[in-house]
Amino acid sequence: MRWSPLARKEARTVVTSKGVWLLAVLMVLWGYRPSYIGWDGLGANITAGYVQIAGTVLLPLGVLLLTYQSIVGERTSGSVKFILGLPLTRTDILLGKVAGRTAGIAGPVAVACLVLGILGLVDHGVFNPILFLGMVLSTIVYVGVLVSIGTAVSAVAKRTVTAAGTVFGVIFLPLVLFWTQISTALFTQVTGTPVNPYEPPASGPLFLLLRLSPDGAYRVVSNWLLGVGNSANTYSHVLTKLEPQTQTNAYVVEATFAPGTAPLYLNEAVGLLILLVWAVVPLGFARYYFSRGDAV
Amino acid sequence: MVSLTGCLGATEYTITDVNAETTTPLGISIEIVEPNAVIEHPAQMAFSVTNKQESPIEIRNTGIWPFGLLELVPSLDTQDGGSGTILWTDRYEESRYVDAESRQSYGVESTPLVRTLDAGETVTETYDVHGSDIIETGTMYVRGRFEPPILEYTTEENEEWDSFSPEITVKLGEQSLI
Repeated sequence: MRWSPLARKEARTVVTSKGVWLLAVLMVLWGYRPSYIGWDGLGANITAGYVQIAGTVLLPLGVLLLTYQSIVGERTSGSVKFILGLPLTRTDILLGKVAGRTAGIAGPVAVACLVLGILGLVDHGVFNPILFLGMVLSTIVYVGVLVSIGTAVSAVAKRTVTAAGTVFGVIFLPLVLFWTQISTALFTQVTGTPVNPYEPPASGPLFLLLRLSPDGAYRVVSNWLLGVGNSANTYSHVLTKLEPQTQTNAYVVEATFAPGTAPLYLNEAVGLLILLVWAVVPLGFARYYFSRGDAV
Repeated sequence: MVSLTGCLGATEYTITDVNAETTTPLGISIEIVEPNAVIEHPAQMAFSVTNKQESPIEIRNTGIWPFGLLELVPSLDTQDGGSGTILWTDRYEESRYVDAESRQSYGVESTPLVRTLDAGETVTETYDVHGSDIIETGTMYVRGRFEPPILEYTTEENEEWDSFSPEITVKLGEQSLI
């Protein structure tokens, strides 16, 4: 792998930055949320659920902010000439950037998860370590996907401000914060079927749409690991929805579809495929433009 | 950082004090068995009723005997039952006179359960206070869930059923994160 020295440099740059450690601290504060419904549903494994909460909202924002400058920043500062002077193809540069930044962010993220694990162990007792490890690994995969998206934007953007605006206005806001509202509005617009979030229609396309964002796919996969239900909502929201005589605006397959009637493409494993697509496709586009355009 | 950790989590509670006052032939006492209503477990209080007389007393209630379904309310002036925090016991689910699906969905049959409390006899029942059910903190009062009296009783000298409504206070506070 010719790009490994570049990846090592990128990882070093990220891991020695204050931003990634600030993200790790915020992840712990954000993620550690003891809840009655979480304990009732998961017992001591609620600690593994904290990892999912930590991976929601702050993690995607932080990772996108830590990656959007990875190429465009070097382009505007002129240091990209040095990288282009190395015996690397532009694909190598993209791969080195993605691998390095992912490793550099994954370390502090793993430390944050470890702190959450210790806090959970002290507060709630022994949890399933395999489940916890699975949650951490799925979160690191999600970090890789976000790094891939951020790097792709950075490779295509001509100016830093364009990259910043794109990751925030085109990726974070619509795909992370407002995806549920956007996808339900889109579904209603196309099909003419209104969506009551408290009693959504048993529509395969609607539920697929909800999990097409990287954030939704991550939660489908992590809920799968936690065993709480098939949904793109957070695990505590899913558990609340599945409580008898409880009304909440979560989209949970088990609460909406009769047993055995959910389409195959709503299987949780498809969430992994969606994450893979988000890791590969934006980077593929970026490679196309980065290889053909003027990188300087 | 440690002090801020968990500040987005659910509120957990502690029973800091309990008190019961009565001037009837029945004595009531309340004891904190588990003070903390946290996500892992509910707080627990044991209620005891004692026949202070030298003759038997009949006690009547619905649902379970002797205390029936109880709740915590912020004021004894509260008119509508069910606006407070239900005090839970597994005996609700075991009783054929209580339709207990969950702590959010339950009902009680009107069938009166009448038993005798002999002279000097004490009966104790333990109730749970689940943190997720707590609506407010401060000084709360114990009353019957559907009717304010805790129970009804009658003595050998009395042909009427008297309501037993002692003032039972429970002080609830939020747990500090630090």
